[in-house]
Amino acid sequence: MLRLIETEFYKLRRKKSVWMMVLAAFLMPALSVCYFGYLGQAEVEPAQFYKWSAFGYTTWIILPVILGIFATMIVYEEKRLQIVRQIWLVPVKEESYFFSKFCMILVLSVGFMMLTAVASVLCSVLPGFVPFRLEDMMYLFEKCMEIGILLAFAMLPILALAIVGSGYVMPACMTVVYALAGFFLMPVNMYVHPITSMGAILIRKKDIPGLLVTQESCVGKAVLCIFVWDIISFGLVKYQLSKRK
Amino acid sequence: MKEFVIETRKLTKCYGEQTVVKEVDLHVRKGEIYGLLGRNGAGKTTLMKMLLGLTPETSGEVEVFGRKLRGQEKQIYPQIGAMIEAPGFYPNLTGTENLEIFARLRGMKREQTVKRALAVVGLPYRDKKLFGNYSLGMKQRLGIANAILHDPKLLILDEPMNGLDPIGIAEMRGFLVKLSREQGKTILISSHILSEIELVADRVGIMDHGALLAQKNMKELKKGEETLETYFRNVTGGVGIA
Repeated sequence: MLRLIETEFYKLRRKKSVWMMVLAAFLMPALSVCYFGYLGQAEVEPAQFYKWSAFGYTTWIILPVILGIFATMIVYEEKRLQIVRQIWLVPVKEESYFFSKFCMILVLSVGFMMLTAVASVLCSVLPGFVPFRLEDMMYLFEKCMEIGILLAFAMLPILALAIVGSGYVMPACMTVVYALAGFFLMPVNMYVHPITSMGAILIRKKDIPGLLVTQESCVGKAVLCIFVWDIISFGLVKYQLSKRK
Repeated sequence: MKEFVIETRKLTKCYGEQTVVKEVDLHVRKGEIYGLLGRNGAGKTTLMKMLLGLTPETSGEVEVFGRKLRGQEKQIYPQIGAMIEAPGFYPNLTGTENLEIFARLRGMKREQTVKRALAVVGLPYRDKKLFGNYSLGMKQRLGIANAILHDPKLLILDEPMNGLDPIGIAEMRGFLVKLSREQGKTILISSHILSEIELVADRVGIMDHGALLAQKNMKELKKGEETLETYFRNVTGGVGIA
């Protein structure tokens, strides 16, 4: 398994698109500087700034779409070029294949959020919006780590769709639909969609200002929702890949 | 009777109403080079995919090394090297890097294994050329290098001469004969180039419209002073293929 995961990283050599995805981590922090600069606010609450730079559009739209496209990319190329056939002949089990792809999603997700955290700190402290305080930074990094891990699990259905589907258009389109569904369902019902359930877990301490929620946060329900979606996704992948036998 | 490395019994594959492989009884003996001949669309590639478990059979049985593949992939696959259709590799990696991935997946010493495999097929080690820029012949060579990377006992090669220049074809021929004669490897090779199979194979099987019409020992064929092309035409009732 470790060998498989190691080779997954090796396969990304010279892929400029991955670097472009990672650079998107700087988008919202940079826009936050513009936003708060435009508002003319000299001092901003750290949580307020981080909500814009890391906990807002980055968490609900940008990163889910990036993870979905990345998942589609790493799977589709191997299917299109018939490389996956050679992987089966090693042999590599279906579960291992799925898990190794998930590890890539997890690493990108956590790495992206860590980079977002670094960018948020730089964009908040250097222009002087937020004073440099270690506890604020720890809060930001902890929250970003949480988002990175949870979002990777929340995006597993899209990875499954990329594996069982035959092209790239459907998973790519479904990524956008899936991400937007999470964004719009958040104030409606937090426990039907993995992304909204991720949100329910994030807001359990009520420390992210300005998030519109109509339900109490229940971590148990949220975990169950994500778990059910992920189990179904895994089952679908296992069934589809086993059909070739 | 020699041991059979590959044995199929009434192996059939249907896609909807179309039967692409019809009740094939294939027997490949240990240490021989078996040439599977047929026109495009005869069912050679589908047959090979079923032998490798890459596509499920509609009916019939497949045994490789005397065992059914299903459920025993971990034991059987490491003994098989295969190249089916156009070999696929990562276009953003060099040939060496691509092979290193598969060597790593197989738990082999990367440098030594990859260097040896590339040397056999005549590709440079640590070349900077990306696979995406390879010519057809180079891609084919890399596919074969990947197939022999782990020193398998059985090679299943689907039209390995495709895209090779005449010198490459001659080298490939010599290499396959060496593997069989000196190392005792069993090779199942499909082709539509009759002349090349004639020079390499110990036995040939002729497929047409999904059926394995005939199997013949090449020594017997040559004793009868019949060319492979004539034999092919007689069996298929056609005009030959190459």
